[in-house]
Amino acid sequence: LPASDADAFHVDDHSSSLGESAMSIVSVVRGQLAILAVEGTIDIVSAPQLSEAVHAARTSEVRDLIIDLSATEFLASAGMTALVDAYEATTSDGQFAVVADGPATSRPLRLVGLDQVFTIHSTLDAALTALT
Amino acid sequence: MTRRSAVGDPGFAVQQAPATARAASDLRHQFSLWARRTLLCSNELLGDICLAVYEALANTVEHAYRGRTDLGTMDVFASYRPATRTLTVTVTDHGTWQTPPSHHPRHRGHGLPLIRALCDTPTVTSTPTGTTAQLRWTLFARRLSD
Repeated sequence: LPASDADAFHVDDHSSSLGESAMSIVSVVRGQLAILAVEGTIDIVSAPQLSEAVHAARTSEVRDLIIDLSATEFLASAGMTALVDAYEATTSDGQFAVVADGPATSRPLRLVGLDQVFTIHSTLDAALTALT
Repeated sequence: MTRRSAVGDPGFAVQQAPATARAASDLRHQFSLWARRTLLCSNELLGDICLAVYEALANTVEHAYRGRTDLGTMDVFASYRPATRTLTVTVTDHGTWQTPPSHHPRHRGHGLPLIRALCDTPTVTSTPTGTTAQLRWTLFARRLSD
């Protein structure tokens, strides 16, 4: 996203520090698109926070959602369930994509077949190009 | 980093950890430290192993003691035999095994399908006093020095 548009962004920072399951989510909204960038660990402790952030991002103006796992170091199945919930909440009237690359995120998502459910892009740029 | 010889490694053992989400996260961290210094394998396989072990712990936390008011516990044992390059990890609870629902990618519960995909030969043994999930891997690829 161009830096000149920064003033138009609405940014929320959902952070937690829970021992070995620290996670931080930065939410950026522009127009009808929300991007949630998740840093750290998505496990059974932190996955509910991801669902809350998705819920908070889905305002009446927001239709499309990108969940960016580029800085996610660990993705457990609880996080995958949160991603499927986000996908199902979004796709009735908008577009949904996940950004994931590498053994910690993309690999487990593909192993359980979630690449057949929603689109997984290896970079945020690729996801933005696909959604706009 | 200096790697300790895997020969004679005492293994990894934690008994009677509380079956809580926080404890599962802490155990994942402790196990990954042990695995990193013990196992000669690729970082990808190391990631698979740590994820599968976490999923077994998470499954215990979420299902083994459902409907019970007392705080349950879980045990984790891991041992690596260099001669056969076999890693065996067991996660044991003292609760009740819940039959998982049939799997579809869009339905809930990706934990057990994920364990099956990540692990060579997972088995689950249930008795009236608890359930043991045993995860085994044979480590073929020698990890590059890093």
